[in-house]
Amino acid sequence: MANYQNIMRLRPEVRDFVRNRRWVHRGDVITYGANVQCGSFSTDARGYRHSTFRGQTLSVADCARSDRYGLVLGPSNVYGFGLAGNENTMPSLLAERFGFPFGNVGLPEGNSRTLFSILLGIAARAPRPPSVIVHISGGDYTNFCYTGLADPLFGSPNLKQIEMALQERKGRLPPPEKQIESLLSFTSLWIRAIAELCHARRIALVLGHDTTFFEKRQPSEIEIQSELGKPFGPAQERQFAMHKRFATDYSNRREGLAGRLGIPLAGPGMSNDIGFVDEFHYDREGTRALCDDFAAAIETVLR
Amino acid sequence: MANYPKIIADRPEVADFIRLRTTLRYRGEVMAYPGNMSCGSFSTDKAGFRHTTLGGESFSVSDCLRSQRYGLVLGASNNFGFGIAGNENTMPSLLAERFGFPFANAAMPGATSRNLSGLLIAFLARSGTRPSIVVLSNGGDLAGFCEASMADAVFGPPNRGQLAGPMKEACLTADPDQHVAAFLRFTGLWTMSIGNLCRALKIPLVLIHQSTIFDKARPSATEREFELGKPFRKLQERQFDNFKKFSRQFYEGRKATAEGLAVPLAGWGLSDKLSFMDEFHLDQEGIRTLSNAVGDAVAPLLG
Repeated sequence: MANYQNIMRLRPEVRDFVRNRRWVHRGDVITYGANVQCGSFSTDARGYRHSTFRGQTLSVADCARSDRYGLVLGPSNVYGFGLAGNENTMPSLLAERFGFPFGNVGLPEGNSRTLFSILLGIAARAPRPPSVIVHISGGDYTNFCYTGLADPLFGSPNLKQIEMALQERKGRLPPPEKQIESLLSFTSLWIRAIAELCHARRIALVLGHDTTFFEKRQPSEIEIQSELGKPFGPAQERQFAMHKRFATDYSNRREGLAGRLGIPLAGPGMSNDIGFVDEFHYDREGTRALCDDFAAAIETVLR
Repeated sequence: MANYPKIIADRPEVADFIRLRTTLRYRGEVMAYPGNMSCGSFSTDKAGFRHTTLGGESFSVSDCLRSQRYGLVLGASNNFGFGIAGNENTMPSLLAERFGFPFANAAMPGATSRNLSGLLIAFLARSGTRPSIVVLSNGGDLAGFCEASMADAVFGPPNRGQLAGPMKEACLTADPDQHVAAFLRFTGLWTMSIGNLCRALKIPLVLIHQSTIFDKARPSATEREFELGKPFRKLQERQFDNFKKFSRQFYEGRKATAEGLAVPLAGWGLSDKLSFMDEFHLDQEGIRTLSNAVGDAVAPLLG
């Protein structure tokens, strides 16, 4: 995935993310390592990246104790992999814009079922429910693209289960054109579950139409030097091909669902001009551009 | 765990279930029974759920969901009927015969209440008719925790695939005393969540007060002959110790949850009333006794 040697030369801060990348089991789910502290970022006691608000560093638990707070739910692009400075992540940018803290609930390939569980836990245990949720379901799709395996209820095997799931099937994987239907059912089911939970608790909801380098119109000079989009090895070749093949199906499903549920869908979707660190993670300007879209949608639901 | 050669010598049908254990597979992040399995003792539907019967007819879970009137039994291997030959002898089939409409056997190996909540959400979203009754056994939560000696407050214990793979070492060194509070929060969160969902949709719910051999003060002669409760491996030693140490707390929590939800708790918890095939699975007589108790709790709730 990308030429990380070049990326680290061009963007030295990315070294911190590569060096400190730890995937930890929490039940049958994968999260980031807890209490990491390095030059580029830090995580809280649950492995969530800290967000900032008015110069303060906040854990998700700190946010959930606030009188008013928002949550950004999503995969590693919410976490801000490769993006130095907690203050530059989506939740921190939204916090500055709206004047209340936003928690960073970004997990490695965090899928909608996992994110629903976290939201349910916070809604049940926090003194007050969040005022607004931004849900980015892109992890459903990117996780699927590693294996082409999906279950309509339980999604795709997580990053640490992939090998076991492949061994079980002894290399005989079902055709991805059939599995994509299961993945679309999965994503619909759990986005709807998040929407219903938000509706029941009167929490404003915005869906993020997140995007990747593969949907970018024209790569920039630094992206060309970083060799984004070039697979290194057969597994990546398969992953990237899968991504390109079904991205429109996934995007159309998300658009259709947002329309049916009457929830704003914010972000560029299938075509973008934003900046990337690697194929799936935004650089500082890219994150800022996405947040401008999210903020415009949040304003409509907070009114 | 138990002296299986002795058990099989006495009850040859158990061999079919032992073989089943070697064929579990991932459905997304979750372990499931294989689909379309058929042997002398049992059969599973396309999704890996055990068939149930009513009036000599066999029902898959999706057959039940398409019925005008149906019940759901959500649980782990004890509700699957591990060790019980004949689909007609499982709890859902016994309830179906008693009440005259089909009951689905929605059981997965080691299913936690988070996974069962997922099943319920999906069934409700995808079925045209709501169930007339939901019967829930959350005993898989305790079983999973005792096997892993660890749990997360939102995601629970790791599943069996992870225990056999990447979590093997971590579970051997985990301190269950440090995790029990998180475990109790986990089981409370998801059992309550199922209860709240049923209440919101006006679906009657019965919680099963299921137990294990460790809750019996006086095991029967057969149970002693099968050496139930005797660990045969290091990991089992820990697992059995955990059961002895933590089941009372778990049962108290379950009772409090049932009271909080104002739903009946069917069964006896710590009791000598039930007979077991191995440490965690009832024999045919035990299933019949517990099903009668569950049926007695269900009857007044059906309109």
